[in-house]
Amino acid sequence: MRQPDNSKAGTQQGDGLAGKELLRVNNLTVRLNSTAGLVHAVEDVSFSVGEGETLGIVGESGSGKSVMARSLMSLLPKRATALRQGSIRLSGREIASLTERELQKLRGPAMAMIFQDPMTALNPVLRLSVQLSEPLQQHLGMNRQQARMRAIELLEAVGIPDAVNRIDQYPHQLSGGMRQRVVIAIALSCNPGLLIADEPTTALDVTVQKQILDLLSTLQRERRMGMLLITHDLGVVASRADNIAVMYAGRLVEIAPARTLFKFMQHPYTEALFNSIPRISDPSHTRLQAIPGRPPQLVKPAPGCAFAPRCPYAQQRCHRERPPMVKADDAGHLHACFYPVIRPVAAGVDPSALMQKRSGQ
Amino acid sequence: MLHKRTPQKIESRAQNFARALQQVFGRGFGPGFWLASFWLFVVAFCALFADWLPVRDPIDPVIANRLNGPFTSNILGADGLGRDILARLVHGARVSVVIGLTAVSIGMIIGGALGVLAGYFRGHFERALMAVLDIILAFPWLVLLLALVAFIGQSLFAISVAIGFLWIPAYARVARANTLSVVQREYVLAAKAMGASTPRILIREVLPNVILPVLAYGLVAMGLVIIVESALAFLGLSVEAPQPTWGGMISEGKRHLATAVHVAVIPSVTMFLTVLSLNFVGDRLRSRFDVRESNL
Repeated sequence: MRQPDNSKAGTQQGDGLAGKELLRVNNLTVRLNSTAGLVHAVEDVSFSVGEGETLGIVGESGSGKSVMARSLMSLLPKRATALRQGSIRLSGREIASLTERELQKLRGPAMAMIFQDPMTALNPVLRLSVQLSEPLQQHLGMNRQQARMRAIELLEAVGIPDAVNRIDQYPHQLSGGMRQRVVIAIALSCNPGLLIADEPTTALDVTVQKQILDLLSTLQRERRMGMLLITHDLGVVASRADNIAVMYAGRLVEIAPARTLFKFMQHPYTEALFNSIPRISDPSHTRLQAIPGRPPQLVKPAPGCAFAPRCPYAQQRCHRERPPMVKADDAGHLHACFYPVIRPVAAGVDPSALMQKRSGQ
Repeated sequence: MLHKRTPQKIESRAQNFARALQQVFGRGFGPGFWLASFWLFVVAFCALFADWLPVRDPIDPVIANRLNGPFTSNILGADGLGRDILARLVHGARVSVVIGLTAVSIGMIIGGALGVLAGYFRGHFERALMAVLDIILAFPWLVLLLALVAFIGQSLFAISVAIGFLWIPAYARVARANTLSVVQREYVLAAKAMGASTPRILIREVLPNVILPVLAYGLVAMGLVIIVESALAFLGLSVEAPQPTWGGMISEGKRHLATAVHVAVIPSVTMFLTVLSLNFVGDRLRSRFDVRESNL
């Protein structure tokens, strides 16, 4: 999200790099056909990402994160998509209205995507050189030799040792972490302005996860890309995202600059996610805090707040009415809850002010 | 690499090549596979070099040799007209191999292309195509084949085309099924996310993954094609005489079953071995290339 006040953004991870607005999504709604009925996969989602900024999107499995990411690139199968509404503007261009051919030109140089599972995101029967140079030849008009040289540079840039020899290998000859590096190299090959990373480390060993995330952060900073980092792990985005959006049952329930979110989280779901992160400082044998119940099915959403059935603070009203997105402060912190949580507040902030705001609702 | 190289030993080029072969084919095929491959090699060799092999003239009747048994002046005996059975087998292999290759290629290329397109584009095209193919499959194949042969004639090529046509539905199904599973893989989506166009996805991402199972199925299909051809020959509708074919030899041999069993049995055994080998080799290759079984 773009900060209205730039001095505040400077305190975030982006080190004040946040510049012009790159991606602006307004009221995006996606419904999919399924055998069970119409799935309300994404409902009324709005956010924006600035150049060089990272937006973390957090939510449980099945909360519509991946569908949203794919609809941003218009990658959802046409037959399955019952409805796609709202506007997606990338550098001022409306994506939803582009033809397939125009989209093909944007995919790669303007926006690229990293997939969850590097085991399946590479074609098993093609050498890395082919998979890497294909987009280079198509988008950047390189010949085979140039593309090969560039592909080797890319592999080196993502930290693959001995890239000159590795490039003629097949995916099965690489470990999972190495494959994810290759996937990243392919995604970065045409210098995209926007990178969508859809759970880039979920399928990897914990030991490799941090390396890959650090690599992504470094490359993003070097190239001043806007990045959408999708994950189910609040811990992953905590130190890497400028802004964090929390998604539940296809809707955004809270969005805020990362630091604000952790200090002043308002939505009970955000709090529940936060509490479910195991902490090293906990005494041993502390039980992990799980969120009771399951995320709701999205075929016929109940009226009211989608989180109400699992929410410890839910009132009658929550089951009847859907809470709208409201401002929590003027620095871009929004949430959708009638009875927001109050967390113990850090020094320098007057807790009574927050209390008053709550009773004012 | 499985073997550790000793540093002193420098391998010759031939040894290197042998080890590469070993890595591709040497693991777990077993001796049966190699025996079957050897037999297929012999058949292919006969078909290719029939004119230069030291066998007698396959269509020259020598009445003195009529119904000679094996191991007489004719190594495998002679038929009812005194023609050398070995020579006829060697030349007949040519018909079987040519029809096998041509018919399977026709089925593979046309059926494979249709199947890949149906599996990729789905929708009305797929439904219409599958309906047509189901209709073809529902026809008794021999009746359909007889109609086709009556329509396009009895040359070697015409018969290949007719049998090839019969194979289009089977190939379309194999190609479609494999395409359906490949298209769902993430690398196809990933290619799309990098801006690849539809033809590019079909050729670069889908085809290389579909072609191996389709090709491997080809050997099994070839075995069946040889049987279909011999069925035609048995009815006297395959390639016209005097060109020897295995099916034709069995057909002629049935007249002498009471007196000279070998005239029918020797080509039958030859065909049996060939079809068995094709199935055996084809099945092994298929299981090696099958997406599900190989964990590719």
